[in-house]
Amino acid sequence: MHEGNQILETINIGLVILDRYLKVTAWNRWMAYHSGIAEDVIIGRPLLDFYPNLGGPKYTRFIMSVFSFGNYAYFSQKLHRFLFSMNNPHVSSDIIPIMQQNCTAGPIRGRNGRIEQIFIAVQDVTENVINEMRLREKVIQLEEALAKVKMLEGIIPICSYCKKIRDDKESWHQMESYISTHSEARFSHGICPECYDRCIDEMMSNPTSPKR
Amino acid sequence: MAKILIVDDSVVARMSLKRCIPKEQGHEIIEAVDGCSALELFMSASPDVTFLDLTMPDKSGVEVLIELRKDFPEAVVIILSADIQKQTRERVECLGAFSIMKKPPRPDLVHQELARAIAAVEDRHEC
Amino acid sequence: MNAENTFMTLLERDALQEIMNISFGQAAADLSDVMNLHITLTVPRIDVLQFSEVCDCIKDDISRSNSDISMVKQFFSGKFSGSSVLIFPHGEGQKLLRLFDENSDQLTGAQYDMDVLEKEALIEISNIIMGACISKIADLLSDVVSYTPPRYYAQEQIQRILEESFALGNSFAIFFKTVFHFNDFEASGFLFLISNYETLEWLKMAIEDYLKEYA
Repeated sequence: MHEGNQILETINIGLVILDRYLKVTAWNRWMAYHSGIAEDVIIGRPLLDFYPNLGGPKYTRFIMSVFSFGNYAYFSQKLHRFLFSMNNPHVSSDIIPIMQQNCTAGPIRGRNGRIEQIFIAVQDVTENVINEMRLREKVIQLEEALAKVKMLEGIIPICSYCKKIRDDKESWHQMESYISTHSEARFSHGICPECYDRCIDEMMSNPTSPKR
Repeated sequence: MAKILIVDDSVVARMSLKRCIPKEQGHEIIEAVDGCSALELFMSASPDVTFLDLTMPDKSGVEVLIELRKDFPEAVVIILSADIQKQTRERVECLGAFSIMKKPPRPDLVHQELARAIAAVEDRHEC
Repeated sequence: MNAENTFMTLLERDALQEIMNISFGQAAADLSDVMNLHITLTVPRIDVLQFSEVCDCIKDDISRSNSDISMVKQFFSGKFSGSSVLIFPHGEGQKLLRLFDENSDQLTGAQYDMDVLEKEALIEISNIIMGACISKIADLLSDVVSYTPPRYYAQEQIQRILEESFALGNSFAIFFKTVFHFNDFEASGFLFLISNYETLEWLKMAIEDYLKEYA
């Protein structure tokens, strides 16, 4: 088999060639497999016989610009989702039933330099789309979680004497109360060695005062 | 033999058109480089046929056509333009243009249109 | 402001202007068929400029419109070769999205940012516009060109990319502000072509042939 044909038949991209009357002159194995339309059925027939929706304005724009101007045309999944309606062959088909596609079209010139045919290359990007969706969902979840996380930061006005803290409404609060409200921290109350010694000294010097 | 006014801001465009007008017919050709001087020349020289470009700076071809046809309803104006979309064609015909031709001008088509335009002018003089 | 005396004679420049007018008119007519809309592409005046002058032109016009800009760039090659660059003020892409209205609510299971969609719309439409304009110029000058895929650049990348495009030092630009009118809404952008002196020499010869044939 000619090398070009070998590439056509084995490459993991759909390849279609159309003449100026939009009749199919090439339909590679990938296209046949994913469309369910055999090569010998579609070759020589108008593409619109099998995909009548491709007569719509956005498809015409895509295809006719190549015939008119000879440049490459792009048909992106983000704007258009797909060109040829085909089943999603991946396990994600319950999420996205139709294969998502990025497509490119380009000119094929004859000997006189005139554009006689165009090729359309079809790339399955469904898995990329799924991954992007999952990433977006994760980002939303993280943003929601972050909104719930409370953090203390910046300069906190504190009384040098009693250690009460002033909030942004000019109210003074006990330190424990302020910190509990503005962070995820909680307090467990105990006594440090210095205060312990001081309390014991006070009790010993004043036996009638209530025990703490 | 007719008096022909060519209105186009491009010297190359005017040269292209002059080249297409048959010299042996002895037509007199006058030129205007923009819309304002076209209107002045039209008033002073009374050409039989006017070739008018659409895309000109300051006054566009459409504005010139509107003013010409308002002041001189008999004016025979052939539009020369690269943009010959259906909507453009309909618009200028509605505004009273005699016909519209594609740029760059082809000698055979210019001969044909010019002959038609001159015949139309002669018919009007006879009426 | 421009170095036209260095690059081209007055007659050559006038011929180039006329070639551009004709090319753009034909491009508009073909684009209208392809996109099924009425389209006007205006080319008020072209300048043949050096890099610094291009930046000044863009800054003047952009600072008036007071917005960020996006750029789509594409290489083309034939005897006439160089880069074509389309610059849009931010937000014009959203206008162009109206051309894709049928799809805006149909992206299965995913909501793309307006920024993403705007970028895609800009690339798709820019590609068609640049292809239309370049191909018509090439047709008139009896050349055949091929193209690279267009690439999108955001505001912060544009200066660097333009500097790289002019890096060879023998570059010049054919600069014009093209206003596109689609049906009843107006989207506008700047289109300019960057090329080099070798192409300029070929362009002058092609202009001479054009003058011989048509003028």
